[in-house]
Amino acid sequence: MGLVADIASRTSYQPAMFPGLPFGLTNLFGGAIGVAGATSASRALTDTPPRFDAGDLYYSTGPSSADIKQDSLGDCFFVATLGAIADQQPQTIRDAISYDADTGSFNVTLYDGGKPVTINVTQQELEYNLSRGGGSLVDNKTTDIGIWPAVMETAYAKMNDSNPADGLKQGFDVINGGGKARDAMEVVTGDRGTDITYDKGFFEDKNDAIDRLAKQAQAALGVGRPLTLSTDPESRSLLERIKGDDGTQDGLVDNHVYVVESVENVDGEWQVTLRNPWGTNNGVSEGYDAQPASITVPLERLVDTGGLEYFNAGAL
Amino acid sequence: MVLASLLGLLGCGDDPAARLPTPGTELADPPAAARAGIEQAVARWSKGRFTPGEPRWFRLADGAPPVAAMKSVDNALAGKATRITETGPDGTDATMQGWKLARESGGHNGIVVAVSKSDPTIGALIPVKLAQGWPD
Repeated sequence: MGLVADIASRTSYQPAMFPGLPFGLTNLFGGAIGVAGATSASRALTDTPPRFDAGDLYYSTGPSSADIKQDSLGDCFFVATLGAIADQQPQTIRDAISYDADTGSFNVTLYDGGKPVTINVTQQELEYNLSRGGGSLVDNKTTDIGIWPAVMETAYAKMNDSNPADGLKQGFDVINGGGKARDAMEVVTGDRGTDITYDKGFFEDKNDAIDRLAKQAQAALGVGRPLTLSTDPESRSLLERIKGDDGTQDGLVDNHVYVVESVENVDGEWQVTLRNPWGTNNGVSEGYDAQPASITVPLERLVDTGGLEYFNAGAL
Repeated sequence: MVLASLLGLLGCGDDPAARLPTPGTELADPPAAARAGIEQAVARWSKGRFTPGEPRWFRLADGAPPVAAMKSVDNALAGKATRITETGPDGTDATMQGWKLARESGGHNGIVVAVSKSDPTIGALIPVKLAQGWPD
């Protein structure tokens, strides 16, 4: 149905009389039928279709990480995890969201402590997500977009809000405070997944340890597990700290989470291609800024700089 | 600079608010509309919470989202400040985030970053004096 009406000021939604009909036709019937006093001027005014419905959830082929743009909220751990799941297991996203045509709202299944909970997301709450600069592209462009990231993110904020009846500012502030990818994986899928870390044995060669790490990450993607990469700030030597140097930079945002798109061995060097949930790699300021959302980094660089915290691979 | 860094390592004389690099490019003369929106938003959020100092204006890199500014400050202040959970109020023309510095310096003990909503390339980095009892 799409972006046909601004409902930001509407406080209640009355279900459309014929929700399956096109927007204009529904209103026409609503005004024309006039059954036993049910149709009045006020009914005609409130009987407006919701801005977002089931047809607005996905664009084209379905959910993907390209639908995500983290604008103003510090919840990279959540939206990057959503992107990784959407790329590898899109049905998980589809199964998590349902649209209730009677109420004009969405129901989202998330997991709290491993147990499924259903969270209702209203149109008004979605509008609030957009006003906060949430993780969908809907607040950045008006066509070719899916609202699903905002639906999922709003449900997560609502799950973190102690009193949703007074609005979701508190819940959005909570998720704005950041978190861990493995926790987000559990919230969305019910399973924390597996952490894959660089762990060099005492007698092990560094290249062998990187090879082992890369193959684990590559295998996870190969079998269809959603994969994220969490970053740390680069480690600095005492001399670098005294001199005020930043040390060698890896090109990635520190304390951030990326969607892992591929892990490949190119001419003997393991390369990781990552998608930044910002939708760009401009503004990172580590010497590798570029407009595209994807960036390819040698895994060895992440290991050498200490910028790699861990991969998290969701369950199959 | 080396001496300042050394003193900083020792926890002496460090003034993160003054030394903090602005995210993106520092601006002497920000666009008037974005500036006005941010100033109004900061004035509204500050009531009962903090006294704003002199802002330093910046322009974010092309396409970089507002969260890039917050992340930049987060990382620059690592170990020297805690992020304040509360964000700026709804219904203003700015996305706002605050930090409480570990120690007061130069008359301020906090930092607020505001990025314009109507022109999300423009932002301000503002040293502030936090009010007693906020954000606790």
